[in-house]
Amino acid sequence: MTESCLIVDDSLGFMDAARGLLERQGLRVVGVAVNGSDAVRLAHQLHPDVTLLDINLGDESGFEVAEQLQRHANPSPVILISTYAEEDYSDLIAASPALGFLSKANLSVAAIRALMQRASGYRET
Amino acid sequence: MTGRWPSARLASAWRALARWADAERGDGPPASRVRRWIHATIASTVLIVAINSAVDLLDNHAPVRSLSVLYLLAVVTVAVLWGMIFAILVSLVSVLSFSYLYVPPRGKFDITEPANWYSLLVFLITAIVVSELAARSQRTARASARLAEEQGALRRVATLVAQETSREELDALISEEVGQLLSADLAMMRHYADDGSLRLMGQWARSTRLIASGCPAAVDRVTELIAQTGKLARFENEMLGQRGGDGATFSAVGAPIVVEGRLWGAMIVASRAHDLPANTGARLDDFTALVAIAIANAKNRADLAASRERVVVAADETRRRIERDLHDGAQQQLVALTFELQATQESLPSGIPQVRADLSRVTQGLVSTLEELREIARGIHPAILVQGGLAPALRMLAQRCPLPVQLELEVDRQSRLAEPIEVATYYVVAEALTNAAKHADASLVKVTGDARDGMLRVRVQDDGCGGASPARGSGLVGIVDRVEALGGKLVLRSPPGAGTSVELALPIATQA
Repeated sequence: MTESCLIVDDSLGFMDAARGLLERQGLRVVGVAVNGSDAVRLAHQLHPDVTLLDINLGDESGFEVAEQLQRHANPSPVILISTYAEEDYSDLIAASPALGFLSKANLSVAAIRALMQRASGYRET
Repeated sequence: MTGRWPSARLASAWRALARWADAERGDGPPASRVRRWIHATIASTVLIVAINSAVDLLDNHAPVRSLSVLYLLAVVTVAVLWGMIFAILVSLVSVLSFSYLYVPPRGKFDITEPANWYSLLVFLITAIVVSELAARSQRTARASARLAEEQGALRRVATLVAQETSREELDALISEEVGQLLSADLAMMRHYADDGSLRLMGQWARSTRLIASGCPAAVDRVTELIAQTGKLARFENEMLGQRGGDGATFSAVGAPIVVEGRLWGAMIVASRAHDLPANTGARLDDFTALVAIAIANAKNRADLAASRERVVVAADETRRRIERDLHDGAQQQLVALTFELQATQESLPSGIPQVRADLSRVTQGLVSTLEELREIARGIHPAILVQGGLAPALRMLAQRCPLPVQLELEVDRQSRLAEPIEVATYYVVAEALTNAAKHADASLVKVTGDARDGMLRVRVQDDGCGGASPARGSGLVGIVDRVEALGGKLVLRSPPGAGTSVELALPIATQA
């Protein structure tokens, strides 16, 4: 199965590299957004299977964008990403509606799938 | 038996007499000068009559000439209490009455008798010398009393300045000290502001009715004159200002307050009960010189505090920018590079395992470089403070600490504190936790904090060995500067064997 994915990040260099990586590993990147309002609009239009959302979107907070995405009628799961470590934000990650967190350095389709499976596993039990 | 020696009785009688004589001495208003003359005349008469009676009693027991010495008592007393002129008068009256009443031939003053002239000479010299000495000692006593009073007032003002009393309170208290010290009815401190307006900085009045009835015109004229000349100014008997219905007149004296070479304002006293003494201006001037120093000190302190805070804020701003540049630039690029390396690795044809292994090692190196960079960035400025504020940042510190940390925060999650406050608190807790983990041999650290009544209070307490000294190269020393720049206090308590506590108190202004 090929999941569709939306990437929200304000660093274009990272975006290109991540897109290449994820598509090589079998994910369909259906859209990219560099700010919160684009992210909300695209998520609404494209219904991606997963949204990768950078915590530091310039002056915007990824945590706030995650809240906005979650207010959607049929929200797609969100995975927070950052060059920071999980422990830097653990409190805010735990409080956010996102599925989980992936450090950018450890980004891979396998890691994304693992997070999604874990989350859906939780949901089923 | 009363238990009191005659000398003690004499001393207390003398003190009473001195008080009676000395009421309103010197430069008092005319009414009190008349009173003094009356007192002196009564006292001289009583003394001479009393001595005459004593001479009467002793007349037959001693050579009459020797009894003239008794009159020196009157001369000395009057000389000490009322001064030279009265003493000379008393000398004349004494010699005349003694010679007329007791020296044969009685009933007549023998102008050719040299003994009469000798007595008069001795009496006059005594009168002059004693009154001069007494006047000197009284001047010294008065000067030192005045000095003590003034020093007392200044010491109180200095203490208030040192206690960092608020400016409004300080100005009101300075006005009160000056008003009381100079026995005025009204004292006020006025500031010539940079925009040309006149500001009332502090005011004190003997009765509140005085303030309600409006500013006396004399005060305004003095204020105006000082603004023009920058010198002492004085106005006598001016009518009360616009709303002065009771027709009272005022005198006012004002002295300029010059702070760092510029006319800052004026200290003005006004009085209606009597004219202000001639030396009021000079005394006011003595005082305002010190008031000016107090103002300059307070201003310098405020400037220094503001500048320290600006330095801290600017440094934080820079650190934050560096951290952000690291994050947005180098770190993102390194991540992108790792991805590209991975792609290259995956696209390599099989059969060159050495190249694959090399590439893998480079990728690993990049990842650990990234981690190192992240550590550095965190040390420069903690990103979580920007995003989440103090509570999540402190929880992050607690989680990262190798010791178990019990964290109890009563800080409103929704309202953020000012950034410098959050940053300072973060550094204090980070340093305290690091020290506890490294040096304290502790098993538990408690971090408690609350923000109420305009103060953020945070306490880090461990159960370790104590005995920590801030002088021993603790990172807390640098943090103290940061805390003090924000008007806060940092206290380290570390009694040997009883754990270490670090207490932080910071004044806060909450941000919406």
